[in-house]
Formats: sequence, structure tokens, C-alpha cells
Amino acid sequence: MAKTKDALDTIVGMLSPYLGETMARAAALAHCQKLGIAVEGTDISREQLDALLRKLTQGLNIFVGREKAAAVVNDINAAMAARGAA
Amino acid sequence: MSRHARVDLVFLIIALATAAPFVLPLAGVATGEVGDELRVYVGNLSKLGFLTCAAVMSLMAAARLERDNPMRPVWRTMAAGLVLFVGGEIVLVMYQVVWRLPSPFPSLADLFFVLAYPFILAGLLRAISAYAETGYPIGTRRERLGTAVAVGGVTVLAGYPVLKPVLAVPAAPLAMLLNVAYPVLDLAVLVPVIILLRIAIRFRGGEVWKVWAGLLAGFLLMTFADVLFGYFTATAHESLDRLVDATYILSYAAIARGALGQYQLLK
Repeated sequence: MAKTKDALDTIVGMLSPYLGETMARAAALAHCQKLGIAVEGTDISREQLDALLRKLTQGLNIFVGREKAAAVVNDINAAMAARGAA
Repeated sequence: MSRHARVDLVFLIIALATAAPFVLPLAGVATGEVGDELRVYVGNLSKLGFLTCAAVMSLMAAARLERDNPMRPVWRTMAAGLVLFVGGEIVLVMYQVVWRLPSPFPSLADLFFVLAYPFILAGLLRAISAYAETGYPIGTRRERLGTAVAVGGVTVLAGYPVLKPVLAVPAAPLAMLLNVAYPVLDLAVLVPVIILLRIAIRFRGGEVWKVWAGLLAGFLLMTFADVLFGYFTATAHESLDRLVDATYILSYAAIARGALGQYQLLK
């Protein structure tokens, strides 16, 4: 399990080229709140991460299409895995 | 430099180069007969080129989006409006470039231009709904309604000084109708444009912002150009038509860049 804050930083970094950093962070935090994911000083579970990515992808789909949004999610998962391995 | 940044630079250079023959005389630079010829060819063909690029890119972007994507109808509707703008511009090119005649007013071009507005307006309104469907924090419905009321109020107030000289000048019924219709339609388009700008600015720094900044800046410039055209014509300041032409060129270039940006985002 990764720290929630670290996971959010990774997600925001991957979404920023499309949404801009301000919106990427605001959207991630808003969805965390809706999903009941605490950000500070907690770990994020796989289920929580999947639920968060699902919500963020639903929005990203609208701008970049389903295929590209799925590729972005794959990149986020790969970055999370690399972070976990490190 | 990234590929997108290079495309931005190329667009900017072409837009400024094609607007230059219109801007230079306003700055006191004499361009002579060469300038007159340049203005006929470069002005008409650049407008047609940018509008065609915008229409084609909008159609291609719509085709790439999935059937259930709420942005698909936005780009399709926008494309329909832009295709009509292309139709109007072709009529103007026929008069001014092919037949070397001053384009009459009203003409068939005005039919295309007026018919384009409902599509552009519908596309922009649908875009507001599509943004709302993202689930991202784009502000509340109440905020958007407040913006609509505020912009609507300002446009009504601004519309009076613009329309007053237009109505005061004697004109044939159809010409008068069009002189009034263009600023009114432009000011109607302004309402969703400002709402979308307020939403899109939250995405600044990202590619989504670049797409919508281009598109919305283009529609803002178009409104400005139409209002200037109506005002200068009514107040017999036709010598300032070059400013209007330069504004149209920059407007169409910005719309084309926005549409191209959306297509690139989907690739």
C-alpha cells in the first residue's frame, strides 16, 4: 500500500498535462472527499485507488476519449507500481 | 520545443503574417498597390483557409470521440456551424478574388453566416453541459446562472450604443435586418462563451485549456469584429474596415487552433 498523499502526487503529475495542475489536484481531492478517502497521514488501498482512478477517468474520457484516458490510467498504475518497487 | 508548441508558433506566425497587410496601413506604413492586392488575396484566402481547417478538425475530432461521449455532439454541432461559415466565405471569395467585384450586402454569404449562428450557439451550450458531466469541480449551476445573468445584462447595455447608429441609418429592410441580427446574434453567443471561459480557465496549464482558450478567444474576437463592422458601417468609418478584417483573420486562426488542438488531444 502507498501513502495516499504520494499516490495523489503521482496522479496529479500524470493528469496535469491534460487538465492543468490546479484542476488535476482539485479534481483528485474532490473525488477523494466524495469517496471518503482521507488524504493526510493515511495509506490508500488498491480498491480505493481503483475507485479514485475510475472517477477521474470518467471526466478525462470526455476530453481525450476513452482510449487515451485508459492509457493515462495505465501510466498512473505503472508509475505507482514503480514507486512501490522503489 | 514540443510538437504542440511548434504548431502554436506556426499558427501564430501565419496569423500575424496574414493580418499584417491590414494592420500596417493603420500604423501609418504605406503599402501601395501591392498592399491592395495582398489584402484581397491574403485576406480572403487566409480567412477561408483558417475556417476550413477549423471545420475539418472539428469534424475529425467528433468522429474520433465515442458515440456516448458528451463532447461528440459539441464538436459535430460546432462543425456544422463552421461548415456554414466556410460556405459564406466561399461566396465572398468568389466575388472578391475570382470576379474581382466588391461583395454586395446582403448577399448569399449572409444566408450562410446567419444560419451558422444557431449551430455555434447550440454547440457552446452543449459544451457547458459536457463540462458539467466530467464531475470535476467546475463551479456550481448557480454560479453559471449568475454569470449568464450578469453577461446578459452587460450585453443588453452594450447593445444599445452599438445598435442605435445602426438603426438610425436608412437601409433596405433586409440590410437593416442583417445589421441588427449580426450584433444581436454575436451578443447571444457571448453569454455561453464567457461561461465557458470561466470554466475552462480552471484547466489552465493543460491541453484542455489550450483547446478552449483558442476556440473561445476566436469567438470573442469574432463578436468584436462583427460589432466593429456594424458600427463602422453605420457611422461611415469604412476606412477602419482593415481593422475589422485583421480581427476576423485572428479570430478564425484562434478557432482553427482550438479545433486542431482538440484533434491532437485525441490522437
